[in-house]
Formats: sequence, C-alpha cells, structure tokens
Amino acid sequence: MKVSEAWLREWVNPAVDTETLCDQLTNLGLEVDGIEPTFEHLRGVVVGQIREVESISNSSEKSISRCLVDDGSGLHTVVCGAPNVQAELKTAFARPGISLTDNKTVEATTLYGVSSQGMLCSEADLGLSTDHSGILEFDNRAQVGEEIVDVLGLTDITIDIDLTPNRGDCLSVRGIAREVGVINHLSSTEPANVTIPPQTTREIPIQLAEREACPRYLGRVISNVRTDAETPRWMVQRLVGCGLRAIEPVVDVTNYVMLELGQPLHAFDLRNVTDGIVVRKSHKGEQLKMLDGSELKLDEDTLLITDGPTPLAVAGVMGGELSGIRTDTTDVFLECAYFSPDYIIGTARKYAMQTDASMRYERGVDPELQLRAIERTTELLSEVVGGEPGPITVAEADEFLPERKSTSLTRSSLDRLVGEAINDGEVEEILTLLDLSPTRCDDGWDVVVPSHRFDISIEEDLVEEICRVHGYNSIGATYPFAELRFDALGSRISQSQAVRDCIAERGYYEVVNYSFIDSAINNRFVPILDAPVLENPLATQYASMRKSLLPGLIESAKYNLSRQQENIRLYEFGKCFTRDQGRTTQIDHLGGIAIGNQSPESWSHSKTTLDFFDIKGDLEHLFEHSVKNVQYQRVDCVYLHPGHAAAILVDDEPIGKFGKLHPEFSMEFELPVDTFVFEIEVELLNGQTTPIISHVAPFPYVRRDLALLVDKETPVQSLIETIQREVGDLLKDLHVFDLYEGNNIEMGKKSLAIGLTLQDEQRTLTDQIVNEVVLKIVERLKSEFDALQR
Amino acid sequence: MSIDLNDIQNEVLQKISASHSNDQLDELRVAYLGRNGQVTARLKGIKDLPKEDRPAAGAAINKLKAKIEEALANKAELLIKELRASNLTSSIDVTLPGRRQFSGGHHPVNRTIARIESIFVAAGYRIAVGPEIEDDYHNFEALNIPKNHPARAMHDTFYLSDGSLLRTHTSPVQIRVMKEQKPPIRIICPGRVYRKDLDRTHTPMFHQIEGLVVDKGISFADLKGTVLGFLNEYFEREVEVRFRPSYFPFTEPSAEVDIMGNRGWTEILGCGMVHPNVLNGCGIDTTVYSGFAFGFGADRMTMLKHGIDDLRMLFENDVRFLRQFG
Repeated sequence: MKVSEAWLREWVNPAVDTETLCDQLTNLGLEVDGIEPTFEHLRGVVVGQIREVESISNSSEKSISRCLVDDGSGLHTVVCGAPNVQAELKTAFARPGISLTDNKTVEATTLYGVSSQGMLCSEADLGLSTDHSGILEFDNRAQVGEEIVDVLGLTDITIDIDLTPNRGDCLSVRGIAREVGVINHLSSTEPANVTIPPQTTREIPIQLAEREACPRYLGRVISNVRTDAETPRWMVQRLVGCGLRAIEPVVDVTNYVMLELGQPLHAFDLRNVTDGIVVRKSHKGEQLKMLDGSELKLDEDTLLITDGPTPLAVAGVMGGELSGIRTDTTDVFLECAYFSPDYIIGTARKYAMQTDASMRYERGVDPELQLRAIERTTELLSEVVGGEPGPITVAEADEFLPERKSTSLTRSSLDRLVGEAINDGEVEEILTLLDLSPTRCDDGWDVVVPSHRFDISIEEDLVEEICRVHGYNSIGATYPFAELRFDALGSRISQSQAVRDCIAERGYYEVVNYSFIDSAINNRFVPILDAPVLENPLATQYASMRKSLLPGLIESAKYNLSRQQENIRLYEFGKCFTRDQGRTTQIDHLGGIAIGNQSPESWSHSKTTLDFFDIKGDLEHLFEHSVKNVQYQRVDCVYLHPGHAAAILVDDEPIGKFGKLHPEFSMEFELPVDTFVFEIEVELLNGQTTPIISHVAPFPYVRRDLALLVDKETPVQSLIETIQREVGDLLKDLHVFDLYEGNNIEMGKKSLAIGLTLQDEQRTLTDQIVNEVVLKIVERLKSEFDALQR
Repeated sequence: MSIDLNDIQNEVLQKISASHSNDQLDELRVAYLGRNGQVTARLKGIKDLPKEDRPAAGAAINKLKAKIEEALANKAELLIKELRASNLTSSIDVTLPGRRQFSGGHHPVNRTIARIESIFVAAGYRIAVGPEIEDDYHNFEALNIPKNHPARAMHDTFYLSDGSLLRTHTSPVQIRVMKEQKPPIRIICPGRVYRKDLDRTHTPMFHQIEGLVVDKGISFADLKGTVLGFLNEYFEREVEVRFRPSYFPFTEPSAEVDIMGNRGWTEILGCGMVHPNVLNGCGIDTTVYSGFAFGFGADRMTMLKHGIDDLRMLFENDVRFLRQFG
C-alpha cells in the first residue's frame, strides 16, 4: 500500500517528522518499505519562457508552432501543438531524457521538419490532472529555470508500506491514520459523513442470488454527469501520491474513495445495466469479455455481477468490457458492495487478475462502510462531474453480514504470554485506542472487535495488539528455564556429518544443486524407477525430482571445467526421490565426481591421472569406520563404463555404485574420458560407529609374502576372502603389493604378490606354524582358483 | 714378539685405519679374531710350540688380540663420529613446497547449518529433520493455513501430481515432532525448502532453519532472549536488533527481526508465539503449555556472515568460491 503523507496528515498530524512517522508505522507492524518524493520524477522539468513563436503548420484541427524557449540555461527550439502557445508565456519545459510518467520519456526528435529539443507540457503530460487542453501557464512570480515541483509545491512524499495479509483494514488512508492515531494518542479528523438527498427517482433493481457471498449490495444511479469534466489537480495529486494515476474523472473519484476509506466501488455505464443487477455464481463455460478484448473463460464457481443474464464483472475483482465508463457516458450506476472474503479469495489468483479491489476484498472490507462510502462517492462525483443522484438501492442479507465479535483478555494469559506485566492502565488505553471498547471483567477485560478488524478473534490476537502498541522493543529479553536433560536423538545428524567430513578430507568440495532436474536426464541416469514430477515447475528443465545426484554433479563439474579448473573433486549430500506404485521414497544420497590428477602438481613426482582405484580408495576410507562387510562386484550400469563399474554391497545388499563414467556419457556431457563418479545411499551405511576394542597382544608379527600366478579373470577379492577364511584370527593385515600381467607371464594369467602379517595373540608364532599356515593357504588357493605359487 | 706377529699387527692396523664402514670392520674382526681368523689360528698353534716358549707366545698373541680389538673399537667410534659429522653436512631447500593432497571442504551453507546446530545443541536443543516432499496437512493445514488462506500466496508452492508438495518451510517438521513428543520440546529443524521464485535474492530451493520451544510458561520475552542470544552467538558480536510486529498464520503474536548492518536494517528472521490452533491441533493443551518458534534462511545467514551479495553464488558451485571457506 502506497500512501500520500500529505493526505495522511490531513487525517492525523502528529508532531513528528517523516522518518519518525515511518519508524512508528514499522514498529506497529506496518513495515515501511521505502519513502519517495511523489513527484521526484518531474525533477528537471523547469519553468521555461517562450521567447518566439512561429506557426509552422495550420490545419483546421490543430495549429503547430515552433517555439524558442528560454529555460535559464539557454534557448531551445521546441515544436508544440498546444492552442495556448504564445510569446512570453511561462510554462513547463521538459528537456530530452526526462521521464514524465512510467512509460513516456521526452526525446529530441524532428517534427514537421523542425528539430525539437524538448517538450512543453500540459497538466496531463505531467500526470497532474487529466487536463490536456493546453500547456501549463505560470504567472510572473515563477522564475525562468525554476523547478516546477517547487513552483507548484509538489512536495508530497509517498510512503510505501508492505502490509501483511491480516491487515486489510490498513489498505486505506483511514486505516493507516487510525494506526498513526493510536501510537500518537491522537484521534483522526475524518471527512464528515454526508447524506446526499436523491434528485431523481431512477433506480436499478438488485437481486442477491448469492446471499452469503454478497450479503450487502448498494447501488445508485447518477444521471447527467458532465462528459467534459476534468479530475481536479488536488485529487490527481492524492491518487499519484498513493501510487495510482488519473484515468477518467468518474473512475478517479471511485479510486479516490477506495484509497480514502478502503471501500472499492465500481461505476457502470447505465446503458449496460438495463435488466437489473444480479449477483450470482458463474456457469461452467460462461465467458466474460474483458476490457482488452480477451474472453475470460469462467468456471462454475466464480461470483459475478450481471445485468440480467449478461455478465458484467467478476465480483470484487475486475469489470468486463461492458462495465466501464466511456468518454460519452452520461448516466452512471454506482456499485458499493460487501463481498465475503472467503468467496473472493483465490478468484484473483485463479484468473491472474490481482487488482486494487480484489486485494481489499480478499483481506476483508469493513462491512459497515458501504453506506458511508457510496454517499462520499456521490458527494465527490457531484463536485467533479456534477449529475443528479437517485436514491440508494439497498440489497442486504442480514443473516450473512458479519457480526461484531466479542472476546476477552485475562491478566494471567497476558502475563504468561508476554513474560512481563504491562500495567492495567496501559492495557486499557491501548484497547480503547484500538476501538476495542474494553470493559473490566473478573481477571481482565471483555472487548468487542470493531468491524474493520478481521484479524482479531482470540485472546492471543489481543496479546499481540497490546504488545505491538506497547512496543515489541520495550519488552524484556529472558531465557527459557528448562531441565538440563540428556537426549541422544541428535546423533543422527552427527552421523551424516561424519560421512561428509570423511569425504571432504579426501579432497572433495561439497556442492549444492537443485533437487529438481530435467526429466530426460533424470531418466537417463536411473531408467528403471519413476521420479516424482512437479505440476508447476519453474521451467521444464526443473520438472523432475532427482533420482540421482550425478546429473547435478556432472553439471557442476562441467561448470568448473569450463572455468579452467583441471582437478575437480566434488561431492553432494542430499535427498533423492523415487515413486513406486503411488509411494514416494525420499532418502539421503552421497555422490561424488572426480576428474584430473591423483595429487596436486609438484616438483617431487610426475603427474598421474587418477583412476578407478583412487575413487575406490576414497570409498574404502569412508567405509572403514562406518560399515563392515563391504564387498565389490562388477556391475552393469547405464552410466558407467562396462569394464570399470562396481557395485558396493554391504551384507549382500547393494548400497551404491562407482566407476568410470561411460564414454558415451562423458562425450555427451563434454567431460574428459577419465571421469569417475560414485553414489551411495547413506542410510544404508548402517553406522557401526562404536568400535569394540580387542586388546593389543605383545607377541611379534611375522610377515610372509606370497607370489601367485592365477587366472586373469579371478577377482582378487575372492583370493583375499579365501585367505582370510583360511588363516582366521592369525591374520592381522594383508596387502596386495604387486600385480603384473604381460611379458614373462603365461597368457591369460596374472601375477600377484600378497603380503601377510600374522600374529598369534596367545604366544610367539614359530616358523613351523607359519610355514604350515602358508602351505595351507597355497594348497587352498590352488584347489579353489588353480593358483600357482611362483 | 715375533716378526710374524709384528707383520700381522702392522697389516691389520693399516687395514683398520683404511676401513670406511662397520661392515668392513666386522669383516676384519672375523678375518683376524674369528673362529678361523689368523690370530685365532696362532693361538691354536701354541700347543705345537715347545713348552717353555708357550707362555711368552701366548702373552704376545693375546696382546696382539687386545690391540686389534682396541683398534677396531676406536675405529668404530671414529666412524660413528664421522657419520654424525657427515649427516650434519647435508642440507635441503626448506622453502620448497611440501607434498600435499587436494583439499576439500563443506559447502558454506551446510557449514552455517552445522555451526548453528552446534550453537543450539549446546543450549539443550535437539535436531529434528523430516521429508522434503510433504503433504498439504503438514505444510499448511496443521500450521493454521487453511485452503484459500491469503498466506498461501506468500509461499508459491511447487505441487506434485498426486497433490503432495515440496515443503515451503521446515515447519512441517515441528508438527511431526509435536505430534510425536510431549513437551518440553526444544528442537532445531534445518533443511532444504522450496518456493517458486527466482531472482537476485530468491532461488527456488533454499535452506531454512527453524526452532521450536514448547513448555510451561514460555513467553514472548523468552523468545526475544533466545533470538538475541543466538544472533550474538552466530555473529560473534553484540548485534543491534529490532523486533517488529508481523504476521504468520502459525504464530500469534508474530514478529520479524531486523539486524543493523552497513546498509541499515536488514530483515533476518521471523518468529512468534506458536498459535493456539497449531498447538491444539497437535494435542498440546494451551492452558498448560505455550511455545515460541522462529525461522530464518541459512543461505541468508551465510551471506551476511561472509559478505556474499548475490544469493545465486551459493548454487553455482564454483570451486574458486567454495575453496575460500577452507
């Protein structure tokens, strides 16, 4: 809500400056978003005196003149078509580059073959009224070169207030003045309530087919309004001060009353209201032609204002093509209604037509305001456009008009919720200032909520009112008292933190990507499961909830590669989503991508591109303390290179995959061939975080190395598992320290060197026992894998 | 002493003096004093000498043996000294860069979340998390935001085809906890949230942290104290703070909190006393219990703390940006 400070101060004028006034509003919960001199955009428009006039075109309709204008800085040639152009006239001169209204900027241009260096302005050009009959005329007191905002005293300030949706009562000067009055202990000076006696008997019948949605509808015919009237400058300035602009005198008056009192009104051309007003719901498929010529297709649930069967307007939101005032309108039908918020809410959004009226009706218009507003409108219309008012036609459904609510505030609740005592006198004063008419009761006050406050119904609402007028910043600050309890439930997060820490330690930076991605890419990475899909995505490439972290990681890697980053290790921790038979699964994944060298470039070693086993090492490091019984298997996976792809299994359950990105994927996503990725379901890291310690035996270790020749296809993991089974508790450590294929080795075989560290926790191992163990291993490996000791 | 022994002595002493290593000394020891060594052989040969010559010969050979041992020991000591001295003569360029591994690190927003979690955990809160795809009940209805409520317009919700939605705040976690747990409740709920919005100051996904305290006698003053205490702790200084009345359907009274920065007041946090409709809906008796809740954007907190002026930087994932957080 934008409000003119000058207008506001007509209602209530505390002895505080603008800044203080704005702080007061903000501290009351009417957050001031900004203040701006209303006519700041006119700065630069100056008093210019016409020195010479020369007619350059003279048709019957319009005479065009070439003027030489003195603006104090020099003489400028200006082409002007105003009828009142004459030498020595002091008028408003705008140089090129000045923006007069939102979409009109003065430009240097050539008109009628003459180069025009600016513009002489009418009141309408400057947005000061609708008067376009001629350029402004200043008397001799105006100095050439003086800013017209100073000459005209256009000093108003527009205060922009960001209103919360509960405060519909403040969508008017009246409402804001009420708040300013409360905080400054002043009452506001309202325009007098008037009753304009009818001068004709013309009436339009009104039928409320939807009594609950529209419990009150007032109508009035005003005949013979002047079609040549202009909106007076004082009214336009108020409208502009509140962020509107002048449109047409009748509309300007209804807008003015809406801004003043908060009551939206609509003026129809009486020629389109012939059968009588009906307030009803739309039929499905019904159409309403809008002002811009488009057809609005209505559903079966929209409240309409119709003339007999013909829809004129969407009630409380916007008028249709037939509803408006035209330049030749002489008879006007005024509508001033109360629509229940429940029936208006959602309508404006549904049809994407947010209007000043819908904003007010959605939040609640004072149900006791309609008579006053229609009289005030009649009063102003007769001032601006004349005309003869008819009687006010009233259609009401009393039973559906909101009643004033009663509630109460107890001293004990107030103290309990505030945390400190605000004394009785102040509480009563605040309640009174807010028109809540407090009366004392047992332990507090009974109040009656005024009709304009839709947001007050329970005790807590009153507590807020007391607090905000008392001042949130005047209330003390304490800490809650609580038992110092132990509670282990926080550990779940710290487990995920341990996983993150572990992978970051391995050189991965964490990225955060959107959880929604392109559906095609989503399905390419995880073809078998469905993804939850957004009905209303930001864009189609953000429509599908990610099933995998990899598309995002790949995107992030690409982003960095294209910025000259060669060594990229990234991880993400976040939820992935799938849908299966109507059930949505959302679980935490950990994913990573690695590109580049094994280690930072250094004088001490040559560059080595990282490979599969670097990633595997990172994962083994991650699993070392979080999970037992990890196994790895070759796996077929759409996005992984078929020969460099592994599944990670824990207790035979797959928990993730890793490997080299499939060459087709790396080509498609413009990544290097050596791109490695991994992804794990974190919740399946079953988190054996509490190690049970075995004592450290004092007996010496014995190291034995085995050199084996085995089939090339034999997985080393199987050999290791066999050795582990065979040696049992004696095996303390095992390393594969050499792997060789090629020359000097039988075709189809590989040579492996495995170092074993053995220890008996009860005694010193003898050579004899060790030899027996090694022999057993060799025999077992031979029988199981046809492995030969070399 | 016989000439023979003299020759041996000269020979061995010369060899010892020419030795360069302990291994060489060991070899000499074996060659002369070992089981089959030359001196040992002389000792063994004594029994073949005439009886009267034997004592003198024995004494001479033992003397030689002692001399050799002494020479070996002296040389060994000398070698150690030399070794020590030579060890000390070598030197390297200590300014050459060391061997490193790549550094990694956490995303700034998640670092902020972890830090804020630890601040609250230290104050006795526990951490609660919940689903990101939520239902209308937990995200809106239970929070006193019925269908058609104007506040829904503030949320710009993403909907899924089955009517579920992407949570617009982490408040549904509060509902889930209040339905499960009896007061006292002190929780902090971090997580990703979603709103359909994208510009310089909005991304369609962002991170929220909300706190909730429900107990007997929880007041607005407690809320103020908690928020002030937290902000001072987070920013590690005495922050100038302003509370102003605001509106959230799930709190009453409601407040917005601004902090004073270089460019004047900056909105940072929303809070209020939990609305009785919310508490009652979760089966909490409002005549006995009251509570406060607060919520803020972890992204915004990160930006304020680290001087980041464009929210979108947080989601570009540029490693040159991420690296700066260590």
